[in-house]
Amino acid sequence: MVNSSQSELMYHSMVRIRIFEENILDLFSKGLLGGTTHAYIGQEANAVGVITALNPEDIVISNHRCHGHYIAFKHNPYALLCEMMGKEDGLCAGKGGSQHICDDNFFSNGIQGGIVPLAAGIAFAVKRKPENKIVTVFIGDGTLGQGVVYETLNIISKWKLPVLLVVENNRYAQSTKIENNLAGSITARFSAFDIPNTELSTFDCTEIFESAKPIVEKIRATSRPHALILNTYRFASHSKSDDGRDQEEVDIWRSNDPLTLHENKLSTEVVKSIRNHVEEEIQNAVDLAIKAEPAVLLDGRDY
Amino acid sequence: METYYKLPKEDVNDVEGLISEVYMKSGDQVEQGDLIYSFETTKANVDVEAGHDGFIHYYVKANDTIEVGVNVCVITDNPGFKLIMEEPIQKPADASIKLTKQALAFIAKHDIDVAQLKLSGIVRLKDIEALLDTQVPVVQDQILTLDRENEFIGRLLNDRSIRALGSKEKIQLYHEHGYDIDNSVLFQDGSILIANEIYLGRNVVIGEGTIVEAPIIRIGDHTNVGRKCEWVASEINVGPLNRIGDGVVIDIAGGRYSDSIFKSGKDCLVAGGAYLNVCRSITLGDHVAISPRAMLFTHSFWQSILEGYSANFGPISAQDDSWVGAAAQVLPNVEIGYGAIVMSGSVVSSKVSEYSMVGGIPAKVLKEQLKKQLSSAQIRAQISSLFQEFVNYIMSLDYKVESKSASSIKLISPEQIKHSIDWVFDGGVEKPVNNDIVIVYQNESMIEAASVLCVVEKSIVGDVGTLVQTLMEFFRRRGIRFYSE
Amino acid sequence: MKFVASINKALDTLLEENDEVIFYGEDLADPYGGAFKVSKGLSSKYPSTVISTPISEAAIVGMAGGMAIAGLRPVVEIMFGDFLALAMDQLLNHLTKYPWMYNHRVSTPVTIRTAMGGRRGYGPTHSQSLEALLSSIPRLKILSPSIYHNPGEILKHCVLHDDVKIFSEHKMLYTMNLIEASNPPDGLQIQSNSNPYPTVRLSNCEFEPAELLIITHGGNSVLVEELMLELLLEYELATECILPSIIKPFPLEDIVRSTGSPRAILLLEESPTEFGWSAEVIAQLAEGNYLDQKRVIRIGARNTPIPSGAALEADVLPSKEKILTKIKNVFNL
Repeated sequence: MVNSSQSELMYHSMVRIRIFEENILDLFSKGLLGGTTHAYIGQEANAVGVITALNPEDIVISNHRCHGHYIAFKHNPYALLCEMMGKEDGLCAGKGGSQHICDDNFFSNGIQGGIVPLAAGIAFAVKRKPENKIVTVFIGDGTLGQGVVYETLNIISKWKLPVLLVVENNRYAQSTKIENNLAGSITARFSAFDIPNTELSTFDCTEIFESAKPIVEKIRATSRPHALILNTYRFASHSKSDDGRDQEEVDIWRSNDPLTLHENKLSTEVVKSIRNHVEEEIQNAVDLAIKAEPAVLLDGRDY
Repeated sequence: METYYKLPKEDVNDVEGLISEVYMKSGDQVEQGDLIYSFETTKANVDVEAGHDGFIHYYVKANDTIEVGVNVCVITDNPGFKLIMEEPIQKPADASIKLTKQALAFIAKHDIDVAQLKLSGIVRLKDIEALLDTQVPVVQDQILTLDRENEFIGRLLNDRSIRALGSKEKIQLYHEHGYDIDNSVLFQDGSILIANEIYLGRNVVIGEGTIVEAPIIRIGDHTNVGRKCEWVASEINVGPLNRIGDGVVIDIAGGRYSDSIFKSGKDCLVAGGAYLNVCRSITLGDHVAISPRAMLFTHSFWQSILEGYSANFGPISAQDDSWVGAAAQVLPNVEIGYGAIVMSGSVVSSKVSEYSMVGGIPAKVLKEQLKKQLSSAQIRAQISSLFQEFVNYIMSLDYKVESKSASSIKLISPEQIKHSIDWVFDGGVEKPVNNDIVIVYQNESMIEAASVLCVVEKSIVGDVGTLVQTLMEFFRRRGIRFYSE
Repeated sequence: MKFVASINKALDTLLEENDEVIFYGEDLADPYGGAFKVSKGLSSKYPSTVISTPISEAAIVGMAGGMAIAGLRPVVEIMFGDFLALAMDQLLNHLTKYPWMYNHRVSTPVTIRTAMGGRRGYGPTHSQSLEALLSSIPRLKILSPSIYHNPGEILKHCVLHDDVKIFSEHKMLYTMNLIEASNPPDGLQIQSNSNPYPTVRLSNCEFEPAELLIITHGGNSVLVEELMLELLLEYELATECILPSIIKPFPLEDIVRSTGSPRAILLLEESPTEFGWSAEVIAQLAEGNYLDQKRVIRIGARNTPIPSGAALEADVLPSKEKILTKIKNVFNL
C-alpha cells in the first residue's frame, strides 16, 4: 500500500517529468535547444511507478527516451538540461546530449536494444557482491525487433541474473504501429526463455508501483530476472514534429493522462502546491541552464 | 608378428601431436579394443584402441610431442619381443655453414678454401673479407708500381728534353728500350708516356702535352688521346677506336690499390675535362660514352670514421652502350648497366639498371626499358627516308648525281671518281653485286661490295673511304651509328 | 614455449591473481578447452570465473561492457575474428563510447581475444584478418603479437590496463614456438624495446643501416623470417623488419629511427591493402615527412574473399614469392 507522502512524492516526480518535458519541447521550438530529443509525456507513471520500487543504489538503464527515468531516479533536471544545452555543468559535459547520459548508476544509450547486454553485464557483476543490487532496464515495443535482446534474454535467464526488464509498449515504434511490426505476443517472448513476466495496462502510477515492488524484491532475493510489460501511450511525437498518428487516436489516449489520474487521489491544494513548486524549480533550472558556462572545448585537455 | 601404431594425422593442419596419456606399460598384454593411448591435436583429444591382441611396447611416454607418422607403440604376438628404441630422428647438426650468393661468388673468384676460415651460421661477403684481413694469408694481388730504379724510366720522369723530341724520335727511343709501339703512332708535341711496359696499337695519337704515368700502359688501334691529359694509375688499358678528349684527368687520389686500373672497351668516348679517379678500378665496356666534365669517384672519404663519418671505396663499371652525361658524378661501387643513361649533372650512388635512365641528385630512375625493339618495318622506313635525305645532302657537297632511284644512287665525286650507293632490302629486290657501297638491313646473303654497311649489325665491312665516312657522318648526325672494325 | 601455451599461462595467472578477471566465450569449458585449446584446463581450475556462453557474440561482447563498468575485467574470447562482425554494434556504439561520451565517469577495461587469419583452408568466413576494419573505431586498441613477442606478458598487461582492446591471435601462430631475442634463427638478429606493448626489430645485417624496411605484425612475421633469410642469402640485401605488438594506435616513434637509411619501405598485411592498416601507417609516415623519396610497397591479400582450397588460398593471400618479385623490381636485383 502506498501512504500519502509516498503518493505525493510520486506525483511530484511525475509533474517534474511532465513540466520538464514540456519545457524542453518549448525550448526546442524557440531554438534554444539543438539536436534531438524523445519526450516522455504520457508515460510518466511507468518511470515513477517502477523506480519508486527500487533502491537508490540499484542500477537503472534507459534508452533514447530516458528523461523520465532519469528524473524519476536522479531528480536532477538542471544537470540534464545543461547536458542537452551543451554546458559544462551537464551530466556528461555536453558530450552525450539527450540520449547518451550517465550519472553514477544511471545509464542510457541511443541504440535500440543495445542497452540490454549492458544491463546483463552489470547484473553479472553486482550478483557477485553481497549488496544485492538489481539492474532495471527500460525498453520499448519497437526494441523487441532487435536480435541482441533475445541473445541477452537467453543468457540472463540461464545464468540467473538479477535484471528487471520493463517493456513500455506505447504501441508505436517510431512511426510504425506495433501491429505491423510485432509477430506473436510480448509475454510469450519472455516465457519462451523461461523468464517470468507480468503485464499491466494502466496509467495509474500507484498500481504500477504496487505491482513492481514485489517483483523487485523477488528479483533481489532469487536473482532471477523478471519482465514487466507496461501497455501505455505517449502523447507527444517520437522525437520532434514527427507525429503521423491520427489526432483522434491521440486525443482518446490523452484522456488517460496519468497525472490527472493521480491528482484525483490528492487534495487540490497539494496538487497546486506541488505544481507551483515544480514549475518554479524547472523555470529556475531553465534560467540557470541558459546562463551556464558552455562545455569546455577539447583542445588542451585530456579528452 | 608386429603391428606398429604410428601417430595418425588427425587434423589436416597438424604435423605433430602431444601424447596425453599412455594406458599400459611396455610388456603388458592387451586385447583388441583396449585403450592404449590418447593424443591431443590442436583441436581435439583422441583416444586410440588396440586393433589386435598381443603384448604392447611403447616408444613414447605421456607428454611427449612427436611428429605425425612416428611410431607410438607396437603390439606383438611374441612375448619375448624386445623393443629397440629408434634413435630419435635428429635434425643433422647444422655443422655446415650457409654462404650468401655474393660470398659464394667471391670465394670462387679468389679460390678461397672456406674450410680454412672459421665460419659459422650465415656468412656474408663482408664476413669473409673481414676474416681475410686478419687471418689465413691469401695471395693478394700485388700493387704494381713504376720501376723508378730503372734508368730509362728515371729519365722519362726527369728529363724534360725527351718530351720535346719529335714523334719519330720518341718512338725510336722507346723502341731502343724495348717498348712495343707501332710505327704509325703519333706523339704530339710535349707528350710522354712513363711506364714499365707500353703497348700502343696502330694509328694511336697522343695529344699535345699529354702525360701518362702508369706501370703498364696499353692503348688499342686507332685510338685518339686528346691534349693536356694527365693520367696516373697502376694500369691504363684503353681499347681500340676510343676517343679521349682534351684535359681528361685520371688519378689515384684516395690511394693506390692493386686494382687502380682504367680499362675501356672499343669505340668509347671519354670527353674533354672528364675526371676519372681510379683509386679502385674504372671499367668501361664497348661503346661507352663519358660526357664532358663527368666525374667518376672510386673513393669517397674525408673525415674520420672514428668520428662517426663513413668512408667508401669501390670500383665503378659502365657496361656496353651506356652513357654518363655531362658533369654527372658517379660515386664508388656503382655499376651502370647495359644501355643505361645517367642524365647530365646527376649524382649517382647506386646501381643503374640496364636500359634505364637515371637523373637528379641523388639520381632516381626516370625512365626504364629505354632500349626498344623496333619492328623491321619501322627501321626500314626510317632508313629509307634518311637515304633520300642523304641524296639531297650529297648534292650539296659538290657530288654530281648521275641517277637516283628509291634504293640506288650513282654519283661522281669532286675528284671525278664514280660511286654507287645501294640500299638493299632483304628479299624482294634484286640484289646488286660488286657495287661500291651497299647499305643492307641484315647481311644474311653476304652481299659483296667494296663497302657494306649493315644496319642490324651496325657494322661497316670493307673500305672506309671518304664517301663512306661522309655517309657515316651523315647517319651519325641523325642518331645512327655504324662501327668500322 | 608455444604461442598458445603462453596465452594459456597468462590467463591462468590473471585468473589466479585477480578476482575481477572474468574469462568467457564459446566452448571454453574443459575437456574441449576452446576451439584452439587456449583455455585448456582453466574452466576446471576456475569454475566461477571461466564461463562457456551460448553462441551470442553481440550479447557477450555487450555484457563485457556492463561488467567492466561495474568493476570487473572481462576477457571475452570470440572464436573466429570474422565473428566479431556480429558484435559490431556493441563494440562501436557501446563499449568504445561509454568512457568518452559519459565524460570519463566510467571505464571499460574489456579485452576481446580472437583468432584471426587464414592459411588453414577454413574458407571465406573463418579466415579473415579484420584489424583494418576495426582500426577505424576511435578509442579501440588493437594488439597483434607475433612469435617474436611474449604474447602472455602482453595479454597480462592489457587485461589489467586500458579500456577496450582487441587481442588478435593469428591462428597459424598457436602451435609455433616463441622466439627469444637471445636465440634468433640463423641469419637474423632480434632487438626488442621494453615497452609494455613492445616493438620488436629484426635484422639480417646485424642492424647496420638497412636498405629495405619491412613493417608488419602478427602472423605475417613467419613469412618475413623466410623472406629476410632469402634476401640475405641471394642478394645480401640489408633488411630490417619492425614488428609492433600494438598496431592501433600505431607506435610511430618506435619505427622512425629505422626510416633513415632504407631506400624502400614495404608494408605487409594479410588483409587487402585498400583502405587498410598499411595505408594508415604510410599516411602517418608521409605526414611526419619520413618518406622522403623512398619507394613504398604495400603487400596484402587480393581484394576478394579468402577461398578455401589450399592453392587458391595461397594465391589470394600474400606469399614470399609475390613479395620477392616486388622487392627485386624495386631494387633491380
